[in-house]
Amino acid sequence: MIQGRCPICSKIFQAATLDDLPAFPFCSERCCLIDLGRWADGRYVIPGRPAPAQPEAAREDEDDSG
Amino acid sequence: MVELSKTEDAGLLDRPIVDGVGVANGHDGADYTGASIRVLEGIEAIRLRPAMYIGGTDVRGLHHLVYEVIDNSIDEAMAGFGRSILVTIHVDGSVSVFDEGRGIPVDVHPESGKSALEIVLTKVHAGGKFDHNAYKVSGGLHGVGVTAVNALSEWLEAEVRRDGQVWRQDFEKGQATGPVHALGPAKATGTKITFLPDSSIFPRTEFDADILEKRLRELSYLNRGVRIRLVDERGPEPRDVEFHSEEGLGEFVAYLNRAQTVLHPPVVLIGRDEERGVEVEVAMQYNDSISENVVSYCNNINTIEGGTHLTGFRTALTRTLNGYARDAGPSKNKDLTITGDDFREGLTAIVSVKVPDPQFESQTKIKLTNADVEGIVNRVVGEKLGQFLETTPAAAKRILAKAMLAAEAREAARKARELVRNRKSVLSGGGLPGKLMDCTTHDQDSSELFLVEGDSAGGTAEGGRDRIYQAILPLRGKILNVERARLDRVLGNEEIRNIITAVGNGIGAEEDPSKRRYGKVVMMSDADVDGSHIRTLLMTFFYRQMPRLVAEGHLYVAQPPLYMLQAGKKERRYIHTDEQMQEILIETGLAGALLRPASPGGEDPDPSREVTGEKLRTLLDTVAGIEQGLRAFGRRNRSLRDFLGMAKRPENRESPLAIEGMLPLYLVEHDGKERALYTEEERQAAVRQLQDEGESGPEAPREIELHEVKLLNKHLARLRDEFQLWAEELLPREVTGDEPPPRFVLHRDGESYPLADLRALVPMVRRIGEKGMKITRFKGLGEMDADQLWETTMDPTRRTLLQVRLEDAAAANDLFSTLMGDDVEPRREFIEKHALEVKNLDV
Repeated sequence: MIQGRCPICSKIFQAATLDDLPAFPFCSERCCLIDLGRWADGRYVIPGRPAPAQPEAAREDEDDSG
Repeated sequence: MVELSKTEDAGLLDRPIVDGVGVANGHDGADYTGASIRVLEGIEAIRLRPAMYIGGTDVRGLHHLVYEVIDNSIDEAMAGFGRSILVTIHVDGSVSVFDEGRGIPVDVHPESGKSALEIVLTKVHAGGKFDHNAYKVSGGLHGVGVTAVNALSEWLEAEVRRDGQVWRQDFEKGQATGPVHALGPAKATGTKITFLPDSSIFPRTEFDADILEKRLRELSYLNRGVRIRLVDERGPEPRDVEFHSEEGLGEFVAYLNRAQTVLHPPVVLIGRDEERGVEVEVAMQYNDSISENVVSYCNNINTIEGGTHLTGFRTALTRTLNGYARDAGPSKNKDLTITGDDFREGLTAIVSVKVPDPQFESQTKIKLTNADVEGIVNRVVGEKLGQFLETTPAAAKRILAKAMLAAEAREAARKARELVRNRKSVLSGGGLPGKLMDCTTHDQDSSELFLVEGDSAGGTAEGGRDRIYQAILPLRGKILNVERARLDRVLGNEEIRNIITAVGNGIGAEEDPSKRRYGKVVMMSDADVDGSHIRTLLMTFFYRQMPRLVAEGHLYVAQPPLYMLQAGKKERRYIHTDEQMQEILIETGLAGALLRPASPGGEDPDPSREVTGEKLRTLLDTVAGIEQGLRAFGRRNRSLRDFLGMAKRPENRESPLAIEGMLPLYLVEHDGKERALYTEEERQAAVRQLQDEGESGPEAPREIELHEVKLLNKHLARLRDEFQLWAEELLPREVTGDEPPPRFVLHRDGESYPLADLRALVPMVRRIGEKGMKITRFKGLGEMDADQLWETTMDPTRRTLLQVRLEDAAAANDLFSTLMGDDVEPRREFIEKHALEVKNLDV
């Protein structure tokens, strides 16, 4: 028995095998699509370490060049 | 049929239909023949063109006959006369509708000399419905209804209980076969119409009880309080069901949603426009599906194609929910626009209006056209829905979240199409990503794709790989976030597309591992916290979009080393974890070492106090354990010396219950004094004592439980029992001025190392271990050269590859979900705590 919680809408689903869940680990193809959209959008971010502190001047330079 | 040949009369036939206003008035009175012809015209017109009156002669039209009769009974009930209606399908295929209303009048109509009953049943546009005083609101077919039923029936019997009598009149194909006559006395009132559809009109005359049941249930919800019973006498087991709703439309939506998971209890919005006499009742409830189920009614008639009432509802719904969304503050995804369609995903709603003068686009009433109804419904729904959202924020939030998901799904579909389209835009080598450094063979078992974080590491991997069967895809996995404060981990659009294209396995519903381009997909990232984050992201992506690839065991994690060690002429060693590194240093440092206690006067020469070999290792582990406990104590912001001073020697301890050399489990502050309590018994005694004293102090006692002491005492007991050492030896001697004399001296290889206290032991052993050893720490993959990367991480004969099982990927997905949560602080803590666990997945 496979039980899961859809990462997008939190709906709980279960089935005997993975084959019975064509959209696994999502509840539906739609939620799978929403997830793909978020990846494509770069919206999945893991917050990282503080960025190395830069001197003000250097930072401005970077802004200018960018 | 003669009448039809008179062309001037042919226009008359259609007039009642088109005109909609009574025709009978102008043709009443003495001209008996003319009037009777006209009546005939009405009946004949219906029989000639039944579709114009009941929508057709198919199954729907057939059942429409019953609805027309019931509508009259419902009108009676809603006007306050009789609450019960009995519908029976008889064994011969006829249907009767029996109500407890006032009964159709049977007195003779002064104008035609016929009974009112006969006129109602035979004349188009006859009946009480044109007089708004009789029935305020009616859904019947402008007075055609029951006449049409009569006209299209093989036979029809009308039985009326009224004025203390039972009256009866019979008809055939729409025409009376005799006058109305009394059958006998009656106590109650009511009307019973029984009819058999004409098989020369309807190809099929058999009624379907399921169809009737559906409509009767619907009518019971639309007309709260009315009891409608359906009896089907055909078949071996007669059907007998009753429909009755006190709640009305709220129950209706709940019924429609009975197989769904709903987001909130049904909402009922009721209002009316006094001036126009329009009543509006709307019930709505969202479920977690994506389909819309909005049904509209005007005067109990299901307006299949909607109309002005539905338009008013939709406009108000979108406007009100959008307004609420705006007031609720900016959404996480600012680019997202929620449309009306998004607000109707998963919506089940009934929009019911009662209008005195309904106008429909066609005779079959599937679209309401009264212009003023739109504004009225719009106003009522806007006002009442707004109130609901304000007073029920939990439901409002769920509805809003649902709509935003709908909007996102729309956007996602577009983006997914773009991903696929871009893949097909073949600019370079068969649509494969430009960054991919592919291998020359594509054996589905032996070929490998390395996903490498960073272009420089990608370059190193390219130099080190075996290009025959190893492909490299460099990934850019970090961005400076908006506030420029952190280096966040993210896989961008480009990265996602490259992975999907390079792996070639397809995603989501189209995933097919047999199409994969490589035998193994290997994630290779730095062996630190950042590297574990990018691995978590990748694993989550594979778990969600390519779960079958993972389930079939094609996903792997590479194990790059953290350190390179070289001791003298020995071969280089690669170390994968910090723990392993520490262990090597400690073991090396301990080899041949000897520890002696020292007093201010010098070392203790007693050989029995010397610690060496296995015993020294035990001492070191014990001190390391104490160090762990003291780290926890360090967060209390108290003096360590005072704390350790509480672990009293037996000769000078205050508490009779204190155990030799142990630390207190509790501290109690009361009246500005602090007491240390060493055992649970001691604490309870103290609590009792304070209770006995009653409210003696100005403040209640404050108790601190020192949880870390359990661990500390375990190790302190070991120090005491195995080494005769006490807690005070964990801190340097207290002396004024100079450096405190050492408490211990460590000897190794002819050198001696003074130790101020026991805690200095571990770092000292480690430092000794480092001597003569060249340690290189790899901060990232990029610090290795191509050869090193090959021999440590990529060479199949020497590397360790860890297979990612589906449950490992699921764990990464769970971790990721936590990391993506809204609260930053718990999330940060979680990252720090679990970063190592994610890494441990590799072990």
